[in-house]
Amino acid sequence: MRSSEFSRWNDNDWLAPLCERQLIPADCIGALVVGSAARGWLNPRSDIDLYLVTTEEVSSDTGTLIPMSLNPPRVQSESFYYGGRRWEVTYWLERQVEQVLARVSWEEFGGETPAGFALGEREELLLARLGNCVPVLGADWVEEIQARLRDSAFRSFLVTRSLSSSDDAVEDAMGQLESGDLDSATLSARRALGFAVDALLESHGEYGSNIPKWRPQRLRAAQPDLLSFDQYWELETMRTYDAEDPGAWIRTILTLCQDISMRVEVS
Amino acid sequence: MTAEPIARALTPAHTPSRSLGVRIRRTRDGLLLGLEGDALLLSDSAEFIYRQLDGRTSITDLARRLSTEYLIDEHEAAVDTIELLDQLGELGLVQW
Repeated sequence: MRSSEFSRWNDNDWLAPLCERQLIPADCIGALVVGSAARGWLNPRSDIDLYLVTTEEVSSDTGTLIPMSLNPPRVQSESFYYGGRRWEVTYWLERQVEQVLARVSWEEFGGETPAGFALGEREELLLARLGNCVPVLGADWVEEIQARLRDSAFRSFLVTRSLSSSDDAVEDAMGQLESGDLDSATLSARRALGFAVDALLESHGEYGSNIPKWRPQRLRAAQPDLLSFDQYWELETMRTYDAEDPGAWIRTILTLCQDISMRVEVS
Repeated sequence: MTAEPIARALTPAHTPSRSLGVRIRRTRDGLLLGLEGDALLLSDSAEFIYRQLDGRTSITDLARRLSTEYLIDEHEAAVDTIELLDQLGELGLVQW
């Protein structure tokens, strides 16, 4: 955790606001700071997100139930304000974490629908965040889960999905270029670039492509050899786009997408 | 179109590039190029050439690099390079 008012916080500092509100169940096996707070990407309006992992389901009159495609098909969430920020605590059951990991096994990846990976957005975000969380309770449990995540097919699922999405957008752009629809081709190329960069980042273990606002930060964190931040930002902000000749910029993007496909290993 | 006429049409000065829109996947087995309903797995040396098809590098330079990388004589490298480009061109995977 860096460059925020929390950078010097110890585990107890994080747990104290939860203890005061009796939000840590006795069977809690892990408490993790996740999201922007864990990555040091907080801005003045950012929420603080924490995941608590328990063995028994939490029941509360004040919480919010969030539907999941898991058993049980929900997680509980509690929110409060502390230190001028909104804190959101999400309770995951240990067996729900196991279920999510089971869905990204190599057996699933090699199954009948290899790219159709069966995680909802929140379940995917759980795994994405587990990879970059800061444990404040249950560090051993988190370490073991992170090792299993690294050994799973999660990365391959995501890279495959992003490359497929990029390919689809490239195909759109090519067809639109051929038909002279340069406006649509420009938008398709932009989409292709986003997906291709996501694939590149996912190949470096930088997940969370469902939240594109963090793509620049993720790229800075990953520092891939293939694409420097300056190169990416020049393309993302369309600095070399010539409205009189959009085709040149579009082809540059499509070529980069192809370069990324050649370099990123899917399995 | 047969392979031979295309091979004759290629000259050492040609600067081939990869066709855009080709679906490419890097797997543990190597580089896979998508064809309609099928895929082509490139050999190491074919991938070595394919990766350098940027529309600026001439066939002469490609062959020279292949010769250096795989320690084969330049003439043999040039024949191999043209043969590969000919095949990939027929499949629509490269253009010049």
